[in-house]
Amino acid sequence: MNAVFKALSDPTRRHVLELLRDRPMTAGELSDHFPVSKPTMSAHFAVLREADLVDVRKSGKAVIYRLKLSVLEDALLGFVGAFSAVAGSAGSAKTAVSQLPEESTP
Amino acid sequence: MIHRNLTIALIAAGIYLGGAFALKAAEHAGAISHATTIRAYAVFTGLALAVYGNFLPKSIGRLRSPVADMRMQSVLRVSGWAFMLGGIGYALTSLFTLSSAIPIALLASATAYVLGYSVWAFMECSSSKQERRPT
Repeated sequence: MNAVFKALSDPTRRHVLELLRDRPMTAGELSDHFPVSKPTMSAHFAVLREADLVDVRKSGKAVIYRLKLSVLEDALLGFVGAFSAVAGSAGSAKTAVSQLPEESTP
Repeated sequence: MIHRNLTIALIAAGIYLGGAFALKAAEHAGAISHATTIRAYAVFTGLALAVYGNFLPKSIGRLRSPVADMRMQSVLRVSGWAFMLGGIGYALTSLFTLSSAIPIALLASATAYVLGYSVWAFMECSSSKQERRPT
């Protein structure tokens, strides 16, 4: 279970899982969505594989990744995604508020 | 992999049958009433279905065509959620209601939804295969 939490803690890995929700994808197709180097993406894929959240199959030269989430892992992914979105918007609202000019008291 | 799956299935079957025997033995000993035995067994069945539903999307199997893989993935995901929620609903309604019609109706709806979705996905898959076939 630790491996699952570790895998879901990173936004890039969560985005990979969200992309795989639509359809299975090759490693190249997935990498195209991220502005990171190939070794970094490979490291992310390895973490997802270790947590048993994705299935990897070779088809000719292509390496195909498929989603392998249990219902609880799926729910956890949704929950972590929603929580980080809320935390992110709260953080940006806090920053915006802190940048506002202080109101002068009469 | 087959050995591992078989072991898990045998352990699950053992727990299931063991639970049923334990409940029946408790009823014979007069520790619990017949109604409680039935209710406990229904809760046990619902929870077993929920556990099965939870792991169902993980059984994606071999690689197929991209369209078939996409459909298979969505069918397993929908089935997993339906069986898990149906199982939990079956367990809870068996626990709190006297009538057995509500839990059965709940489970039947989940099963019907899974069947309907599977048939729809199969039809979609076949039609996209025919579209790709050269004339």
